[in-house]
Formats: sequence, structure tokens, C-alpha cells
Amino acid sequence: MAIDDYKSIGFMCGIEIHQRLATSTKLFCSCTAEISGKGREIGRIRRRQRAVAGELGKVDRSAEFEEERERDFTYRVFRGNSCLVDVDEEPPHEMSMEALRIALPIARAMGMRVVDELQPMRKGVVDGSDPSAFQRTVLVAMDGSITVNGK
Amino acid sequence: MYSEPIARALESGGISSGDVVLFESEKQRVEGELMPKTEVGRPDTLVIKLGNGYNVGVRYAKGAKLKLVKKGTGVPKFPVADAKSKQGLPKVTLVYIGGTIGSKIDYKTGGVHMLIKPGELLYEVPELAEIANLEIKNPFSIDSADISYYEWQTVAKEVASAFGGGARGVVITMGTDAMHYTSAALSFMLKDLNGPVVITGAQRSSDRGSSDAFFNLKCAVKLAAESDIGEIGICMHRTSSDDECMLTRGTRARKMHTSRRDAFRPINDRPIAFVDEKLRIRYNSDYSKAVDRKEARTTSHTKFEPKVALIQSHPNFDPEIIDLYARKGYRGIIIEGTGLGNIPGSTQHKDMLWMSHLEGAMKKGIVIGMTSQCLYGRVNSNVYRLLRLISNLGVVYCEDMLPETALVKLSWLLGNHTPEEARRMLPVQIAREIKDRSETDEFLV
Repeated sequence: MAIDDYKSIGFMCGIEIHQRLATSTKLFCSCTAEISGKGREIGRIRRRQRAVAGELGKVDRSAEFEEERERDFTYRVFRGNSCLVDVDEEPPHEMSMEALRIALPIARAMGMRVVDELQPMRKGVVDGSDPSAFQRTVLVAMDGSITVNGK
Repeated sequence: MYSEPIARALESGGISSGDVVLFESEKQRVEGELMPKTEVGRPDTLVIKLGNGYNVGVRYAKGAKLKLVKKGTGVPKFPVADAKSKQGLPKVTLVYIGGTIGSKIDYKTGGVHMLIKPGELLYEVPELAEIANLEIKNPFSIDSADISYYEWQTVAKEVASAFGGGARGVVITMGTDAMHYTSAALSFMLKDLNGPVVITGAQRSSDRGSSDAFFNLKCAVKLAAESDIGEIGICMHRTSSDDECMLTRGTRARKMHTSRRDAFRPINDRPIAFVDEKLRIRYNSDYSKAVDRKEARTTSHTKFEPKVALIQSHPNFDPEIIDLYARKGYRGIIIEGTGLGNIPGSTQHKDMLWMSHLEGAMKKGIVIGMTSQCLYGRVNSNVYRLLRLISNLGVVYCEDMLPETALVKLSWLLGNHTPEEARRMLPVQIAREIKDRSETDEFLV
């Protein structure tokens, strides 16, 4: 398919970049952010997760599908790396200011508009990848641009 | 609360949470759904949900404009499952008095919707339809920390009437903070239980996929539907894992952690029963059997004297506080003493000596009971001379009873009996709140 074909159907595409920050702690607790593998395993926790209506108000179809599979998940807990916040037994602590101090200059460098007030929220994931069945996420800044090859 | 300019803009624009709005200021132009205002954040900031699902806070500064784009649809209709009675299944009455299990939050409007119809609850927890035919009662909904004897009286009557109406068992769902006070109060208020009364709730709210609410509720309904227990118990997670729930005696339970799923532990007692992930019940210790309704019907005895205080003895405590309670017309005091039931009674600092204050209060007819802030173990007035003196003054040593249970028990006794009778009955077992033998496997269970 020639490049013009994509143009004719109005195709647009974006990229999503995930970058872990080398902060001294995790974003919402005081555990080390390092995956060292040095911590001793101090226990295992077994959990089941079910589909619930998230903050978007609807039960996510993929979430329902995961639940129908009746999977349970075993989490290994390591000294230093996982605390009660990680295993969903304690509410989150204050957001890491260190992380925010990294995010804000990056936003500025790309000419982005920083929001007036940060709103941490939950993004449901019931594939077992997080013991709480959601990721805690915050939109810090929007828009902006990067110049690539003069464009 | 919103700042005045925002409140005005919302009113004049006829805008409420859930509506699609356009916000414009010098700096930005944001369109999305207006989210409910929470206590967190500045009063001059609106929260808007963008098309991508993320929420942003926008500051309503001078010159800002807020326009209504489209009215929201209000609180959505919650789906309902088929709730036809199934033949052969026992009837269980579910009494909702709070907590997140029986409610759903609509994130757009911030509205809380109670799942009053069995079908609504069955949609959320369809497994319950296989265990029992549910009848749902919602006499009130309350933050657990706000609960008082007024609500306990209502719930006790509700439980008695459920058994009178043929329920096999009763489940009560509530917030967890004052759950163990509630379980103790019901244990004294209800006599001749015709079936199990199981209190449950959630430590992690039911709006998250990992909530403990669902498993706790299934296990509680199972116990209410099938066990032959005739006691009030608390059914919550045994460990942090979702593989077993534990039924703890109402007069022996205590919330021992602020947030963990397995926060409720039996103190000076063993769990009554466990329910595993296949909902199999395993009995673990001796319990009172449900009373056959042909022999006696469940009755509620709800009189209650609220003027009873719980005070903790600690270094530097000013015992004049006791005089204050006496002046305020209090009729009972439970002391959480140190160790075996101790208070500052031989200090050279005269202003810290408790004796004359206790004596003065008792002369006014106040009943005083002694428990231990150790929680685990038994108070004993015979070990030290000072403790013998305290006991000789007339302070009642309450054996291995929990301080909170003693508080509730003394209030109930003073509501139903004379002070002399209350004083005599305080250290005597009436709802399995006291045992004369302490076994070795009842510590840190």
C-alpha cells in the first residue's frame, strides 16, 4: 500500500511511550522502585479479581471476559520491594514529588500545557497484573510537540 | 465546596455533574463531562473528564467561561438480574445498614445508589442466587463511625422480625469501623436466636475488581443459609488471600488493622468457623446452636444506657476526668487499665492518684469495671496489693472481656437492670463474652 492510500482514508497514528522513572521510591508508596531481585520472598497472596464498573461507569468487556475465565492470581511479596500499598491492603500514600519533578520539566521541554490540578484516578485492569485490579494514573500535561528533522 | 464564581456559573448555566461542558479561559479550552466535586482539591477548580477518559482539574480564574454543551443522562439505570425464588433454597434476610457492598457509586454524578432490589444485588454477585432466596431490608444507611445505640435498637428489632417472618438466617452488611461494637451490642440485645446472624462488610471498597466484598458476602450468606449457629458473628477474610473467610464471635471480635482484609480477629477466643473458596463450612470451635423456633422465638431487648464511658489509664492521666463524668451524670465507666488491670494508685504525685476519684464516683452509684489495654489475657486483682485495693474499693474486674465489649455490655445492663444487678452481672458470662478458661491457642489468632 502506498503512503497516499493511508492519506486517502484519513489514517492517523500516534505512539505511546512508557518510561519508568529512576526515582528513589515508587509513585504512591515508599518502596524502592528498583527491581533488584535481591529482596527475600516473605510471602504469597492469592487473589481473585472480578469485573466492576470503573470510573468510566461501564463494566469493561475485556474485564468481564477475564473474570469469566475464573482465574486466580498468586502474588509473591518481597522484602523492600512490596508493601501493603502494593498488595492492595493500604490506601496510596502521597504522590512522589520526585517523580513529578521529573515529569514537569519534560512537559515544559515539549511545550506542553500542564493541567491546573492533578487528578489521580483508577484505570481498571483485571488481567491480574496489579493486585488492586487497577493502575493509579495521573494526567500531568497535554498537547506540545517535538521537532524531528526540522518538522 | 465550589468557590462562589463557580457556584454562580453552574447555577446560571443550569449545569450539574454528568453534563458535557465547554470550559474556556485565556490559557485553555477543555470540553468534557463535569465530574462531581470532592473534598480534595481547591474550591476554584472544576474537574472535567476528557474524551480519553482522563480527568483534569481546570482553574476557574477571572475571565473564564463555562458553557453547557449537552445535559447528562442522570444516574444510569442499574442492570437487574432475575430474582425469582428458587424452590428448596433457604430464605436469608439481608439487612443493609451501610458499607459499600450494597451500594453503587455513579462516578459521573457522584450519586450513591442503594441496591435495594434483590435483582440488583444478584446482578453484582450472581453466585448468591445459588445459595439462598434473598429478602433485602434497608432500614437506614450510615457511616459505620456514626453508628449509635439508636441504630442498634432498630437493627435488633429488624433481626427479630426477620426470624419471626421465617428467615433461616440473617446477614447484616455495614461499614467496618464500628462493626465489632455493633456485633457486641446485638449479642446482648438478641435472645433465643433461631438462626445465625452474620455481619459482613469490605475493607477494600466494592468499586474495585480486587474488593474483598464479594467473597465476604458469599461466605456470610452461605453461613446464614446453612449453618446451625445461633450466635452473632463477624465474617471477613481470614488472611490477605481470597481463599478463606472466618466467622468470629460478636463479643470477641476486634478490628486490629486499619485497612487489611483480615483486620477482624478473635481476641481471647478461636474462630467459630471457616468458609473456603468452594463455600464449604468448617467448624472450628464450640458454639451456641440456633434455638428451634418451636421452642422459642427470637426476641430483642433493646433498652440501653448511653451514659457509660470508656477511659484508658496511661502515664500522666488526670483522674479529675473521672469527676467530670460523675458531674455529667454518667452511670458507668469501663477502665482500660495497664497490664493485669492497673491504674496509678501509689504515685507520690497526689494529683495523679486515682483512688479518691474512683471512690467518689462509686459513692454516686456509678458502676466501674476494669479491663486491660493489653486486650489479650485476663485481668486479675489478686496478684498485687494495689490491685486488691482497687478491687476492694468496688471496681469490678471483668475477666478476659474486651474493653469495647465491656462498654457495650455495661450500657446494656444499666438499661435493663438496677445498678446493683448490673454490677453483679458485669463479670458473669451472658453472650460468650467471658470464659473461665484461657486456652493456649487463642493468642494472635
